[in-house]
Amino acid sequence: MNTKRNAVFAYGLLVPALLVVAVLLVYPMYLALNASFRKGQTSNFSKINELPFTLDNYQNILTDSAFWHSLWISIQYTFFSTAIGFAIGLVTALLLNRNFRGRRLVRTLILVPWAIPGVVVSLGFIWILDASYGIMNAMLRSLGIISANIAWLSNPNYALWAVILPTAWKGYPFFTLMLLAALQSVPVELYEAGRVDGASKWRLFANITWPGIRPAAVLSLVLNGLWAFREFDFIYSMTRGGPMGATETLAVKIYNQAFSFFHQSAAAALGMLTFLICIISVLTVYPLIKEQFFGGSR
Amino acid sequence: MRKCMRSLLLIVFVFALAGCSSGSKTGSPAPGTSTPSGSAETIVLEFPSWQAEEPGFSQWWKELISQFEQEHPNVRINFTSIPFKGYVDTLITMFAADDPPDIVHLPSASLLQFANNDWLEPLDEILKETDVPQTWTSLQSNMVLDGKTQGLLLLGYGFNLYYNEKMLNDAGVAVPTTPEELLGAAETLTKDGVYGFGSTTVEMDNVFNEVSMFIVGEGNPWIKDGKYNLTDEKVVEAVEQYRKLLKMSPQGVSVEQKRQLFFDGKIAMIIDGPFIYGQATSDQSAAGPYIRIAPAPFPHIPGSVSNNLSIAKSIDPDKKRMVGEFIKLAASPEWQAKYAEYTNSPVPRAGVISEEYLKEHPEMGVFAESAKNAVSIIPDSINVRTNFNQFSKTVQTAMMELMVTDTPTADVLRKLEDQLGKIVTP
Amino acid sequence: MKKLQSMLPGTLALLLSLIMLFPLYWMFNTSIMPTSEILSLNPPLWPTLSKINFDAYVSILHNTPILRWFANSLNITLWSSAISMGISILAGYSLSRFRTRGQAVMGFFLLVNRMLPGTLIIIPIFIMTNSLHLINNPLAVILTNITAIVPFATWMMKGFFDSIPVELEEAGFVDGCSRLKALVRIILPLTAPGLAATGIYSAVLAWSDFLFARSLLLESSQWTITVGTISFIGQYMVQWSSLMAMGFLSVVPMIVLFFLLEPFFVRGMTSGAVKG
Repeated sequence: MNTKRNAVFAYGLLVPALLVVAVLLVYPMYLALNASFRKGQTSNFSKINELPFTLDNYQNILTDSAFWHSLWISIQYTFFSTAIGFAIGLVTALLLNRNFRGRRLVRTLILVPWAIPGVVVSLGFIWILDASYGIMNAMLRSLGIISANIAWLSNPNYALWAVILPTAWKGYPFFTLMLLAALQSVPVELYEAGRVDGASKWRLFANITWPGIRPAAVLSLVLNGLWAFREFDFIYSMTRGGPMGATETLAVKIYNQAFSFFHQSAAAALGMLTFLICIISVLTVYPLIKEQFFGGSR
Repeated sequence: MRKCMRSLLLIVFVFALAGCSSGSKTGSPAPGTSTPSGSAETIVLEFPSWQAEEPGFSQWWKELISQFEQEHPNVRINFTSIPFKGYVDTLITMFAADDPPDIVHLPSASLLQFANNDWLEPLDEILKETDVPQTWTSLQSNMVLDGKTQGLLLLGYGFNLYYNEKMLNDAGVAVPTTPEELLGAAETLTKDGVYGFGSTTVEMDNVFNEVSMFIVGEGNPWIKDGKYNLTDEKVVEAVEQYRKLLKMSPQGVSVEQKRQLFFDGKIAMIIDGPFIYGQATSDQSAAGPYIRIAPAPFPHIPGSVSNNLSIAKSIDPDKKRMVGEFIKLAASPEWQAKYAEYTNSPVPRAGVISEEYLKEHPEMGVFAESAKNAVSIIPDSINVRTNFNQFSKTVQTAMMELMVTDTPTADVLRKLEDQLGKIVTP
Repeated sequence: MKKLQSMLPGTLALLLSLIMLFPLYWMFNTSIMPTSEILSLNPPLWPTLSKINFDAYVSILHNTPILRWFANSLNITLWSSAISMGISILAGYSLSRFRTRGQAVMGFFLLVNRMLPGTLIIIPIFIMTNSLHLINNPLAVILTNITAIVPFATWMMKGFFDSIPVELEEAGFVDGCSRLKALVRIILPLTAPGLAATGIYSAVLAWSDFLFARSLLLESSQWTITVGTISFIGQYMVQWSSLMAMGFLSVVPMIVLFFLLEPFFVRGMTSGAVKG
């Protein structure tokens, strides 16, 4: 096989994907980058090139304690939504990997939360989590876990959990999906061999299952993490970033700058910083996951 | 292989079906672009609105448009429906992309911010040809930036007290007429799983409205002598009353949830605008039969503005003229009367509601009175109005602090004053 | 005893799925019971039979063009998914089987390129769509969906391709297959769970798009199901029952899709394919 022909073929296969993504994202990125370096509060993109060049936007953001607070909130929101989603996804994938009666139905039902539009989920949860009349508090009270109602959406100590819950709920089926598909690829013979050797259930999982699904697990964690980091609808519909900034992630901040405060350049700068943070995060974990990411059949 | 072919055929079939049933692929022309049509003189005005399908309002708009098109045969209005959630965002996107709609229908909270971005055409010349400056409600002053009128107010209102008569009677509580009575009544009525008074208890726009009701309703200005007036002892007292009610309210409810709880008989009293009256007394409202209205329990009636019509600045002069004509028609006595009738709302033009109609719909009289005497809850400062969202959000955060902590009210207000001073000079 | 043990995973799975579906059940409950019943200090776990009414559903079917919304969503989802899958399969295969430097960089670029928040890029995308005269054209949303789906779908397909040993293709080359033929004939059938997963991912992403559908499809005849659902939120009031009912109905096509693709999640496709 001619290696040069190989290389051309390799790049060629990638071209449609790059084309699609580049054409539709290069221009927005250019506009956003351009806007982020402009001085002045404006919302007119056509006039934005008339504004003077400045680094003020970035300076203002990085010296504002509210930015760092939002970053911290974003990190917590992303971490817990992803972790909880992953845990539920792993358990369900392992359970659904078996062959049992009604498997088809259960495997279908478990994926459903993912398909519900985000805004419907948020509005459903504001009633479920309602302090006085919500079913969540009613259940927690009847189980004896709490004695007084928790104000999920207006208590700064609980508000972040209140928005993490629906995010994890909508996000877990993605993990189920990825992990289940990966589990399917683990050859049955390995398990049989392991059982013949007398390995325990836990050993089987640690030595056969986990290495087999690790690449998929890593990928899904990264993808879901990036999604949660940018997610905005849940929080805005439920708490608007309040109370008192308890749920104001970077995504909410960007929206506020662009659509509430009519400050496109500040929003753009914030957006660029968010983008940078995403890249840095992926690069940081990259050495740890490099093998998983680029590992596989080779 | 055969299975493969079968599933492939099925996929193609489904595609074809979906493609056929989704209607015209090319859709309608984009807002702002002029349509190539049969007659070269036809002007098409793009008019998106969230009220296009709303009962009552929709009927009024469609009849108005029909009349306008009859009077101006060379004009066609493309009336499209956009959901309210995200409506302003969509409009901002269109304006920012320099492709605005011709007839601009705005929730008025955003009006001056749109105007401040130089997106709207002043209406003064057009309105001079009408009697609007003489007959319109004083709340129209909320539409003015730099001495220029930026929009025609369609719905301005005063807040009223809505109460559940049965709950008040059962508890032997009289309808409150002062803030103190309101507090007392709320306390007495909060028991056995129901609440006396409902406030918005998540951080959203209505929180600003509700605290401002107390401040303005008790006769205090937000800004005095060019400075924020929040540490004045009368303002502190008013906010303290608001705070007590806030803490007594169901926690963590949005304004829409609050209204729903009231309709379901879980809250005894709320203060709100005329727009919920229809829903409050409808069949779907469990407490409907018992709901009554009274003047808001303040010495002054707090009021606000709901929505207005404007003209986009960057469109052709011909179109601007036509939109101006449309606005004039909407402001005419005949159509104002119809607005009141179809939508059951007070109208900005005084004296269009007939006596018989008032007899049949007494609540309209209450609403008209409230609207006439209303004092705007939005501070009378151009800086504040053009940066209203930032101002409002800062206030909302402070109100949440009042609700969630026990920090003395005066301290929170002092801190708020400082914050506001840095963000928006009065 | 053994029989009990074999029933355990199924029972656990069923139990878990029921627990996870509880919020959906509660939303359904809200759509068939009057809110005054649902909003009480001790809400009833089961709907009171005497108070159940399907008014919300009836009203939706009568008063809204729900079938048109479904048709629009279906159209956009099918095209978005099909094109995305095609592009992602090729790109994923490339990333999996070849190991050139520039290629790895391009792959990384694909991943990070989608990290701008939607609220930031909506105005630029509107500007672009407008200049192409594609406003109110479903094609605009199909394209934005493809941009959203392809990066991640590519990486997903790469992962699934990775789990297929290269030996299988090489066996094909020995038999005289070209690379593409090997891909289609040998590899793709083996990645069935991966294809199903990527297909579901594409469909769900396209189906639940709200931001672009709302901003780029401004004629109500072009509304998708998500935009239609949101229309129950008014300026001052929310029609809770209708909103929940609509949310519930909008999930049905996805449930059908999951059900149809479920057989692909069956083990046994890779094992035994390569002996020795």
